[in-house]
Amino acid sequence: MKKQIDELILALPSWVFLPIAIILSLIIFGVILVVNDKNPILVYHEIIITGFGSYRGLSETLTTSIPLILAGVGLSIAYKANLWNIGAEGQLYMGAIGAGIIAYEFSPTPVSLIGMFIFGFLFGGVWGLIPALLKRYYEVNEIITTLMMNYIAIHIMDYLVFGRWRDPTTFGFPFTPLLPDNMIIPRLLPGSRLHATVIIAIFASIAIYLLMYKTTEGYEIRVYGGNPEAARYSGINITKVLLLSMFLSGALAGIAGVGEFAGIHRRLTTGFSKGYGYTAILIAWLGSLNPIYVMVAAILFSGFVVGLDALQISIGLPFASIYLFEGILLIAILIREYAERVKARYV
Amino acid sequence: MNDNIIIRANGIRVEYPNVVANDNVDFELLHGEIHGLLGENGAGKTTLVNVIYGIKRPDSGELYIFGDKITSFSPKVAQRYGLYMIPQHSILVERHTVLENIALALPGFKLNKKALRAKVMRLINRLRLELDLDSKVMDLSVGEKQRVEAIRALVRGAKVLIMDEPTSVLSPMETYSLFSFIRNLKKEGLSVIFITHRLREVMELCDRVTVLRKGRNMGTLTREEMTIDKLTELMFSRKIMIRRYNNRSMQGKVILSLKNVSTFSNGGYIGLKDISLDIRVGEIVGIVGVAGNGQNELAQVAVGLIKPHSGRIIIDGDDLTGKSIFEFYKKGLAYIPDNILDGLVLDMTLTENAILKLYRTSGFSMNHIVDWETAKRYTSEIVKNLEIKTPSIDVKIKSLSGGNLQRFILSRELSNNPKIIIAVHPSRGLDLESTAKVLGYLAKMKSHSGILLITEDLDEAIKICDKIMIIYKGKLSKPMNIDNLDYELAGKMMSGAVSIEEAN
Repeated sequence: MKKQIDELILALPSWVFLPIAIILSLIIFGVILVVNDKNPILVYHEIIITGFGSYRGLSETLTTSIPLILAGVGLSIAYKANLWNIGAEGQLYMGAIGAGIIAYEFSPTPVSLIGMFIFGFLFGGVWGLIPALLKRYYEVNEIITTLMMNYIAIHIMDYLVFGRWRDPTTFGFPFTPLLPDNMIIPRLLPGSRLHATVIIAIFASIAIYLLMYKTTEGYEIRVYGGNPEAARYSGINITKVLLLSMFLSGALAGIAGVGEFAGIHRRLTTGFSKGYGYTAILIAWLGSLNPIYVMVAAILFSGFVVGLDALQISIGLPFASIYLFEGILLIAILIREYAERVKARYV
Repeated sequence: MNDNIIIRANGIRVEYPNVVANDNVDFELLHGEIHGLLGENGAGKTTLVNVIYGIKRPDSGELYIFGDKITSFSPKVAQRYGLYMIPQHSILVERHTVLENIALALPGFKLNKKALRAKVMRLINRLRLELDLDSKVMDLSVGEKQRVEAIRALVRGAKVLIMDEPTSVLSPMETYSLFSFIRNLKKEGLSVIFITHRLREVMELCDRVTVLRKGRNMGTLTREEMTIDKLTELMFSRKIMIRRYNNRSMQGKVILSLKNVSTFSNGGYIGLKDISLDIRVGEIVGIVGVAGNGQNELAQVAVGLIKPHSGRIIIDGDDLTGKSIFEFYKKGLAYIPDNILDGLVLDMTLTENAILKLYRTSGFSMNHIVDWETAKRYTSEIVKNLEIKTPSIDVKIKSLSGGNLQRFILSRELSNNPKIIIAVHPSRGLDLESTAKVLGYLAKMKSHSGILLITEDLDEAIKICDKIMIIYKGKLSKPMNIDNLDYELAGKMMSGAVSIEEAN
């Protein structure tokens, strides 16, 4: 069986692996739909219409994609450096907390919003930097530290929304006060939640693409990720690579946190992010770690999620469907990694 | 059929893309014989034993083990017949003791340690081995690990041991004790397939030898028929002798010198002990020694990858002690590392690999922006210089063959008129023709650079070097001029039979 599959892989050109992975996960999810007495063709048709085919749907899709683009592009930098940053979720929380400091600890000024973005950028970045420092100087595995620091960030958020920053008018609900108007990220389209962070997200994707493929720093990150020994051989400053890639990775997730805070919720709550930092891992790999593709992957995935979300209500799909689909897609993409390894072995 | 025949292979053919590894090979292993498989690198020795051991299914041909025709190829089947392969690099659990490692090889969950210990001790005594069953494997030498592997196989009921180039990782002393071990195995009634590319080992050890050349069986000789001349003739298509590349060039100023350099010996590194050497422009200095005697550390110190704890490194008059490797490169240093994969990123294109050291220099980048056009022109030149076979410079470099990778590194390192070249095993893994090309290329380079060649092969050093120094356990001998070299003394120093201090 394995042999036949390997032969099939060898016979196919490598660009088809990704489409096959996606189609495969759609088929598997389709089986689950059939078991639930739903017609998968109709469901998928409905998803595409809802997610991409209407003004409301498309703008909602773009809105959902903002944190995924930012965190996903950030993660793609770390993954290119072969650093397993699992901490985008925590870095996103810290970004929001950084923005919260400007919003709740200082009196408002006309440039508060800009300050919130800068603080979000720095807080997310530093949250990524700590695992990098621990790895560089104490050889601590970054998978463990980034993952664990997610919980620290989430609980700092809990501490703040239950304590120091709690809105006294919410009668005990864990909310912070709504932001004043001049600290809210402007919305771009009438009747939609699409906020200006989308421009930052698109700009960041292009900028990180240029950084990775056109500059010496990006080259160093890719060399280190491809073969640390070769980086040593070349005399690349490994400390710089580790710190820069993890800082940027965290900082972009931090911006995503600011966007969710000041663009969508306009206040901080417990369970502030819907796991965007974890979904972004999937998005980064779906986009083959290329920032431009990551952006496209984030938008397509968001469309699917928005469509599925709407269907949950209209045709009564279980709430967990989205996570189910996410899991199936991740497995399919990991299988694609296997296919590429098989291919590489025989080239 | 002769009862004495344990393994019979008829017309084995194995084809890989671009190469026929075994072409109609016949092979017979008799009971209780030490059968040598002789051939150069790439002659098809490993492929043949991989077929016998069931790792590789042949494209055609038949294999009989103890008279049974083998249809299902797998090491499990081979092991059922009592065939065991001793890996070159041991796959033992380093942190466990010898006895525990032997126990691991046994089937089942229940273990009677006492009975096993007694059994192993009997075996060890019969084979006249000295081996502490309670020492941890990580404290053993490479040779001892090989013997532990062999005992593991014996405990599992081995009748045939296959050893793939066991001596290539051993010092001459360890080789000597391996040979007496193998002879004792023979007395116990075992058969051994012994792979090597060294004539002398075959002459010394083997009862019969099968010579392979370019995948073909060139003949099987008995002990009486073996002569050095005959084997050489079968092994090589043409008679080769040690030919010197004696294009003498004027020796210039000292370009690289290490003064009393010592390094720490922790973390798997062999410490260098008070090493001094000078290399002049126009000369090739060879550092010869058995692997693992500190030559890699020496190379890494000389390029700035390891910082010495005492001593100084002077390049072209400037003290570079403690500076980063990049400073060394800026002084015109080229470095061909022991493992060429350390100097390549397999998932990047040829172009991206070509600028690995140059990307920071003017012309290749400005204000942190890489100039890919220049990089591509430069890569095309590298590819053309050493005739590297590749469909394009934009493909990932992992699509190149091993020989082409080696040539790529060589071409890259030698392309910028380096003043110092540090080459570690530049011909490793290359066939004879490519080796000759590489050595010729290095010999040509010496007219305007000083070259440090690190090799395990004394003959290779004699071919190309002006002076050689022997390295043994982190100590370096005095330079010996090649013209009046005491070959025997050099060999004895390499094996530790004569200590470096005595010789100096």
